[in-house]
Amino acid sequence: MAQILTVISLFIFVIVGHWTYVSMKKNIPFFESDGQKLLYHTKLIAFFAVLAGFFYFFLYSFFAKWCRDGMIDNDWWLDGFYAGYSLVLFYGCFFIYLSIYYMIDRSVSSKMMIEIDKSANKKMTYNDLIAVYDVEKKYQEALDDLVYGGLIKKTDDKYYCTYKGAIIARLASLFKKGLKLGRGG
Amino acid sequence: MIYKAFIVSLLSFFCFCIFHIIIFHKLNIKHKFRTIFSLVALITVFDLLLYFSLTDIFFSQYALSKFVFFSNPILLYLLCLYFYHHFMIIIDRSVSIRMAVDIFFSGNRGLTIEEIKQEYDLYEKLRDELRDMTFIGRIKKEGEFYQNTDKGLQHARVFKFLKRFLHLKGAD
Repeated sequence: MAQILTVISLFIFVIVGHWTYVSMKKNIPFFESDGQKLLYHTKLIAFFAVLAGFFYFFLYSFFAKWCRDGMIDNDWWLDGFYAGYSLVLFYGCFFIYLSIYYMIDRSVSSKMMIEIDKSANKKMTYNDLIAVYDVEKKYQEALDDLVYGGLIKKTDDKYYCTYKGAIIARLASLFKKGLKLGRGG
Repeated sequence: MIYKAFIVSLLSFFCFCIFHIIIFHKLNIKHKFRTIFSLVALITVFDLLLYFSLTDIFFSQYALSKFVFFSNPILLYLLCLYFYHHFMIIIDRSVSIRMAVDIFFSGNRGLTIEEIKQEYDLYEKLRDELRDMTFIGRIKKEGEFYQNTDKGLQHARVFKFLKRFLHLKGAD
């Protein structure tokens, strides 16, 4: 229990640190590509993660004492809590698996590298890659996925956000503004 | 108890991986992600049944409890960081999220597919991906041609192998 509380506290510290730093910093560097932007944020998160790690033993001893002194370790719901915790860990591992699976299946970069490797001369122009990626089809597929997921609906020729889509779009927009990510996509 | 929770979750995940590979190799699956989530629902039940049916005594062994004592916070911390980092990437890079945001800000007016294309240029996204891949040294540009670097070639071959192994399209 003390370990879980400690890790959650450290994680909150990382999120707060990351958000505060980005929102306080006036001159976010200009990124030539999304890769550079991602690297910048990854380094920031890693910095706060390592910084938070130094407080582990201090926080752990605090929470261990708190759990011993309090009723927490004796409470009847503790067994249920740990059963739920085993699910959280399982879902966490599953999330990593799913994201890797998704990357293997859908990653645009990997698809392009594979196509270059498959091509006769092992090299392709931008127009060849456009033809393989099929941009026009990609628009329709993405919109169909959104309709299927209930985030948008199609009426006549126009697409509108559903209630569920509006919540997700608002959250995404808030996140992008908070971390100064730009319009993204 | 925390030792049991930790071991049971890893066992459940291991079972999930095994079943996932068996199912995708033996059956012709049409809805990949729906099948994966159905399997997760089944494993959730399995996880809870296993947790409540296993006795605590086995998990109190000294060596096992020491292992869990050190692994548990590390795993949990890494999972949380990975989740946050990946969540940020999805929000930033996802094509679907970007389209949903554009449609949301159009309000009651709505957007046609042509208007979406004007708001969000996927050709530019592809150019950006190529810039990224050049930046991280996966491809190089010679004249108007893009070529894989050694790193890019290894990447492509690993992904091709994984696509074949997981029965995903695009490897051949």
